[in-house]
Amino acid sequence: MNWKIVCPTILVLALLLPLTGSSYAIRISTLFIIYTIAAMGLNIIIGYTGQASLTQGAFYGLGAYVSALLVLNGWSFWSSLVVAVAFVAAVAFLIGLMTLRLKGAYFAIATLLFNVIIYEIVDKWDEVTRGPRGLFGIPSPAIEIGGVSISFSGTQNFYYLMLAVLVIMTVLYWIIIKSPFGSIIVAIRENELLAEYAGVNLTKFKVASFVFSAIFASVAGAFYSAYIGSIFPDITSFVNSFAFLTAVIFGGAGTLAGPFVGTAVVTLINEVFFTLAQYTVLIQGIVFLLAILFMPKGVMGTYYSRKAEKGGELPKRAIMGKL
Amino acid sequence: MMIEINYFINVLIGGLVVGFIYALTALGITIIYGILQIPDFSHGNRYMLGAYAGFLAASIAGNMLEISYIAAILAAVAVSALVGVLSYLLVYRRLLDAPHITSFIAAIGLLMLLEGFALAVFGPRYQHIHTPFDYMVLVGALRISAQRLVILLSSIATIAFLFYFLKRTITGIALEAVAQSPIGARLVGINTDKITLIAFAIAGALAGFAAALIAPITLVYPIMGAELNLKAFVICVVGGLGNIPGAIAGGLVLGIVESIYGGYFDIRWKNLVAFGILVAILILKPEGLFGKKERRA
Repeated sequence: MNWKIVCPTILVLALLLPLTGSSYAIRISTLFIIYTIAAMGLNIIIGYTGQASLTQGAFYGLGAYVSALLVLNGWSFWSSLVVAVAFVAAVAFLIGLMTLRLKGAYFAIATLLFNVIIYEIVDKWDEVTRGPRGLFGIPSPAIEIGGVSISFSGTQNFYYLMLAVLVIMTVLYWIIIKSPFGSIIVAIRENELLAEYAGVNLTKFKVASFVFSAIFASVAGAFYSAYIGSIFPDITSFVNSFAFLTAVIFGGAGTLAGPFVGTAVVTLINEVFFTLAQYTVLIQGIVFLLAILFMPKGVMGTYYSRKAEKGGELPKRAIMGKL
Repeated sequence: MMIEINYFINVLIGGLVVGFIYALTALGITIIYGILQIPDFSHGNRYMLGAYAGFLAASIAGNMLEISYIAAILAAVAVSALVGVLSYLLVYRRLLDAPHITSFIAAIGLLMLLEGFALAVFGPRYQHIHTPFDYMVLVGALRISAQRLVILLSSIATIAFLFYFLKRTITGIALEAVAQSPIGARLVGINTDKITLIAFAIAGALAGFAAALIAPITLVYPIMGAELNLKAFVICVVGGLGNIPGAIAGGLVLGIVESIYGGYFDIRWKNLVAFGILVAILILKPEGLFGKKERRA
């Protein structure tokens, strides 16, 4: 695949999508973009740093809650987005500092516990969050350029807004991975001890990539609350963490395009089984398990491995050994 | 004053009952971890499927409460053990050479799959398992539900039996040998694959038994496994993964703390307090309260 051709083509197709006139396609694509942003973030910490974080769902939900609460209290969407991202980044910084010296499954369990703790707080602290009653009537964002105000309340407008956000976040994601920072976290993933002996401050880089992953999640969450207009404590539950994890693993942890492919599959499953909601978890579980058993490197990882067997080159930051 | 002490004892017994259920489930996780070094995150859903098997068996077995409850217990133990064996054969055995984190992620997939299965087949409704021990017993001036006494006595008996099995039977000793050194065990001619299967069966059976014991009190529903799983799991970590006495002690302590907190303080924050304490221990003493200092790696 030649990314210099594929990426612009997809972007042009995405720009043209509203021409189909199908508000259903636009709605799904908007949700796909939101989930992809959160999955990209998770890929930074899982795929590139090699730390199995299970707090992504809580960061996503927390981003949604903080920004929605501020917007409902008269803030503009953009300033509340900034505050939400800063708040979630600070929370992630503290959680990261506490948990990232734990290794492997211990780290995963600790982050899962923090996910449950955040959920419990959002669900039970109803003086602030309104608890299980949820938040309603979250207004859509608007922007003012030279006296002309553009509202993103329509499906189509919001879709173009999200497309712009996706491009910005993808570029950010690309810069993080391709920068020297990216090569250091990959070094940590491949051999922690060696990286430490080479002078890498493990905690600093692990916490930094944990915070980056949380920033992506909170951006996604904030836009989700503005798009859907109502949120409930369930949004912070670890079910979302597992869904993002499924997307990253299925798409290919540690590959740039993995989160896009994986999220496409997860979103599709959710939509196909929307009327049969009771089967969603079952199907997701089956897809997840089949992926880990038969394709542990995910769609993109397997694609690159096949290519490497035929003499092609592995991408620079691909996972070398087994996942 | 008398009444207050009675209330306290009742709270304490409630805590012990829940604590033993935690312990029985946590024991399974710890046994599996001891053998394979896999934190088997799907274990709670074996407990849940056991409860459903018990519910089905009880409704088939008819109206005689004694018979239907025994059928429920047997079915729960059998099905949970079977699910354990199948999880090993179909999933974990394929991942023996992969890093442990892959097995952990696979366990999350299994967790989702089993819960999704229950949700798809049984729906989100609450189901009942009826028990013949649906009456109160007078102990001194204390009125205690007979089912709770049954849970206490049979859990203690099960744990005693488990210890006897691990320390005094050839299979049990082989199991401990594999836990201590899989290669060493293979060298002296132990079939580690078979022992691992037995470990999964025992772990599943314990979870199924716990489910059948507590189901008449807590009812049966799809997410009962996920709720218990997280607690049982952290109990194991706190007690030191692979440490059997640690899992029992951890389970009882968590059950009692939760019960006392719920009996005297705002029940709203019960889960938050429980998980807060657990995560604090996990961070401050990652090797577990009773573990050796190697668990951080």
